[in-house]
Amino acid sequence: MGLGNRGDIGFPEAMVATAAVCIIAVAFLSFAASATGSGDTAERSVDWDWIGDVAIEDGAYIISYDSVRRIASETGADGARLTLDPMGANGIEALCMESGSLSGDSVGYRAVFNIRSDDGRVVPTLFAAEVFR
Amino acid sequence: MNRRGISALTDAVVFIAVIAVAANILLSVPGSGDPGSEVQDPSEVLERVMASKMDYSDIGMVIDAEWKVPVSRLAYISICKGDGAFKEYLSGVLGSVYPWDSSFHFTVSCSKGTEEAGKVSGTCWKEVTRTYESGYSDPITVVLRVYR
Repeated sequence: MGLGNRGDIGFPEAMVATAAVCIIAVAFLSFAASATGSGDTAERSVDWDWIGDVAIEDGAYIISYDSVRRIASETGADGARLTLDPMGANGIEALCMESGSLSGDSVGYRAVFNIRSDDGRVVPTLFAAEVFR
Repeated sequence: MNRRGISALTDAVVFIAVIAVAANILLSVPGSGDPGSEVQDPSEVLERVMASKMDYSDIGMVIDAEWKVPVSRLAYISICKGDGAFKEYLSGVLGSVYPWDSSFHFTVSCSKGTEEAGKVSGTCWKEVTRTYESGYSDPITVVLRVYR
């Protein structure tokens, strides 16, 4: 294909043309990403206040099952898993609770809270919540 | 379009590519990659761990006693003994809370010595410096950095 002599453009015109193509490409990609992104930003993250009172008695965590149910419902998830890990404290069993469907994409949340044990210890416990959508 | 036009167009594409790369680098440096609400603030993690009360054996210390002792005091005793138990314990906790590679680095110091663990890497997300009473008139200072 030969090059013609007409349609001569300079640097400013080329800049405008290229910038226009880039802007349209970015706009299209943003639209495509938001259309396929399943609206993650509208979904709520875990609020640890949803978990009620927790204690340790005879080496076992005492916690209401409603905690994990509430994590699932309040975050708009299909299901949730909540694990409590005593992080090295001897004689205390880790706990895992599940609610709903545990399939699909998941997001994890982690936080440490001190839980009072009936043997006098105050145990730093890792709360790990995983929500499935 | 003649050769001059092609040359101008090439210049423009190169110019915009350079600007895009520069913008990308600038946007990726400070504050980006914030873990947000998915993980807890390092200051809260540190406060809670140091305020907890455990047995010596819970943090891996070999002492024939079953007292429930504040972890800040256990940290001091561990530094004095030089057994590395508290360093290992805190590393385990931080590795669980921030479960990505090279996520943290900390130093724990008092007049008897300094211990450190973790790896300095990438961009520092949060830095926390806290001083705790050890119970022996010799406070311990923890400097924690979490990287993202």
